[in-house]
Amino acid sequence: MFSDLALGFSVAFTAVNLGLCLLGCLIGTLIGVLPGIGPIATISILLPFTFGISPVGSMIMLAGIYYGAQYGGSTTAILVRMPGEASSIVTMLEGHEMARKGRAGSALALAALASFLAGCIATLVIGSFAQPLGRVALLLGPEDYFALILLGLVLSIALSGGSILNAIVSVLIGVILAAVGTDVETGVQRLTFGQPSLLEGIGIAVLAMGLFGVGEILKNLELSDARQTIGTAIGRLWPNRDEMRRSAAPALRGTAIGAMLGVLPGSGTLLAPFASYVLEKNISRTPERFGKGAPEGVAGPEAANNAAAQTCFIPLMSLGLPPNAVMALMLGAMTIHGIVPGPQVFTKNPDLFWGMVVSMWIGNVMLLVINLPLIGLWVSLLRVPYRLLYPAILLFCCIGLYSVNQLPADIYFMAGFGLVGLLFMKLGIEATPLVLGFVLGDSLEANFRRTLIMSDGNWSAFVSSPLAVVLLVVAALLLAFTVMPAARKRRDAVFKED
Amino acid sequence: MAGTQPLRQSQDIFAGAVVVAFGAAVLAVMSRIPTAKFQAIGAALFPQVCAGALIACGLVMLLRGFLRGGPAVVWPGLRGTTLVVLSVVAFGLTAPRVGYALSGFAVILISGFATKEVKPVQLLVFACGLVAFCVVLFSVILKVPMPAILLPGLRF
Repeated sequence: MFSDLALGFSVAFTAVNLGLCLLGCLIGTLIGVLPGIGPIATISILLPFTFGISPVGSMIMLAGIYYGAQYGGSTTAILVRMPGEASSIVTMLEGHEMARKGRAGSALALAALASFLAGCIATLVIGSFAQPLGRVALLLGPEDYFALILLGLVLSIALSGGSILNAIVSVLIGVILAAVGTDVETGVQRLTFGQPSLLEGIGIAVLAMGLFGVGEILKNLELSDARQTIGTAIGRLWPNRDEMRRSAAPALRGTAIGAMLGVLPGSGTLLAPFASYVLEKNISRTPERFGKGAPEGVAGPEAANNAAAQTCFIPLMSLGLPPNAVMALMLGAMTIHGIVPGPQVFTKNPDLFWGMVVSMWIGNVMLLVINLPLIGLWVSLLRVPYRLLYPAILLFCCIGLYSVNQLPADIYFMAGFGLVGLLFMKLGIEATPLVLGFVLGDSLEANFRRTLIMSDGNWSAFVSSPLAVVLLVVAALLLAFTVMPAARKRRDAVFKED
Repeated sequence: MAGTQPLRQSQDIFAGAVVVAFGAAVLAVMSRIPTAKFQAIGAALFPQVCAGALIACGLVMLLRGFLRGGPAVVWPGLRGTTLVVLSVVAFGLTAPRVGYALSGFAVILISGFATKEVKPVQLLVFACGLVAFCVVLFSVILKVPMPAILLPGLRF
C-alpha cells in the first residue's frame, strides 16, 4: 500500500493537479455555501469542461467539488440556519444554536476540524479496502453482477426518501432511458425516433443538467426567495478546550459510522449525519444539552457526513457501481475519458486511483485552510440574491452543454429534461434514483443479456450461482422489509427534513 | 392537505397515468424492433421487461390514488416555467447563428423575468458583466473552440 501511496503522491503533487484540486475545492465550497445549487448540478455543468484536461486531473477536480460542497454546506447551516446541502441539515440543529450563543466561530472551526479528521481517516480506508474488494469483483460471473447491480438499485430505493413505489418507477425510467440509442450488440436503433442526435444515446451531461440544473431552477422559482440575513457575529474562531474535549470522541465515532454508511448505495451521506446525531444523543450523559448548542452534535455528524462522502468512492472504483447520483456522474465522466471503473482500474490506471486518493487527503488540508480564513468571503456570497443566481446558473448550463458538440439539439433536450424534472417534483417522484438507474442501466442490461445468452435463454440461469441467489434474496427481503408499515414509519422519521 | 382534495387531482393518479402511458409507449415502439428467429435474446427484450415492470408499478400507483387519495398536484406557475424554458430554447436557436455571447445575454434577460422580484436595470448590468466574464473565461483563457460573437463582418 505504501508504494501505491507514493505513486499517488507523485501524481497528485504536480502543479497542474494541485491547482485542479484547489479549484475543485473552491468551487465545491462556493456551491456548498449557496443554497439552491448542489454538487449534482455543478458537476454536470462542469462535466463538459473537464473533457479537455487529463483524466486524473478531471477526477481530482470533480472529487474536490463533491467533498468541498459537504464542507461549504455546513457554513450556511451554522450561520443562516438553512442547509446549504441536504446533508448539512443535522449540523444546522446544534451548529446554529451555538451561533446564537455567539459561538459561531467555534462551531465553524469544529465542523472543519471534524471533517478534516474524518477525511484523513476515510482516505486511509479507501486506500486499504478498495483494492481487495476489486479482486473479489474479478471472480464474479454475469449473473452475480446482475444480482449485485439489482441489489444496489434496491438499496438505493430503500434508503431514498419518499414513496418506495415512486423510487422504483424513477429507477425503471432511468434504466429505459439508458437503452435509448444504437444497441451495441445488434446495431438496432432503439427509441431514437429517427433523431440523429439520439443515435449515440442520451448523454449523461444532457440528462443531469436538465434534471438538476434547469429542473432545480424551475422547482425553486415555485418557492419564494425567503433568505434570512446573517445577524450573528462570528465570534472567536477557535473552539475552547472544553468544546475540543467533548468533540474528539464523537468525531471519531461519526467517522466510523460515516465510513460504513458511505459504502452503501443510496443516501449514505444523508443518512450518516442523522445516525451519528442519534447515537451521540443516546449515549450522552447529558442528552438535555442537545438542541441547545451541544458541540458533540456538530462534530459527530460533520465527521460522519465527510467520511461518507469519501468512502462512497469505494464501490465506484472497485466494482464500477456508483452508490449515489454524484458518483453516477463521476462514472459518466470516467467513461467519457475512456476509463472503465471496476477491478481493472487498479492494474490499468493505478495512477488515476492512487492519485485521486492522495488528492482527497490534500484537498482536505486545502479545505481546512480555505474555509477558516475565508469565512468572511463565503458569508458575503450568501448575500447574492436568487433572482441573479438562477439566470447565471442557466447561462452556465447552456454554454457548458453547447461547448461539447455545438448541437442545438442537446440544448433542447436539456430544456425537455428540465420539464421532466419539474413534472417529477409535481408528481412526488424523486429524480435522483433515475440518474442511478440511467448510469447502471447499460451494465444491468449487458449482464442480463450475457446471462441469458450463455444459458441459451434459460431464465433459471439467474439463480445458477450461490452468490447470485444470496444477493437476490437479500434484495427481495430488503424490498419486502421496506414496505412493511413499521419499517416505513422509522424510515420516514429519518428522512423528515424540516 | 391529504385526502381533502377531489379524487381527480391526486398526485398518485396523475403519476400512475403518466407512468402507464410511458411504459405502454415503450412497449409499442419496442414491438416494432425485428427479432431474429434464432436469437431468443433480442435488443428489445430488456426494455420490454422494464416497461412491463413500469406499467405494473403505474397500475399500483393508480390503485393507491383511487383508494387513498393522497396529496393533490399543485400545478406550476406559468410565468416562471415558460420564461425559463423559452430562454434555453432561444439559446439553442440563436447560438449557432450569432455566437454564444449574444445568445447568453438573451438567456439572462429572458430568464431573469421569470421571477416577480426582477429588477430590470440590475439584471441588465449583471448580464453585461456575466457575459463578459464568460467570454474571457471560455474564449480567452480556456480557448474553447466555439464562436462567441458571430455578426456580419465580426467573428470572435
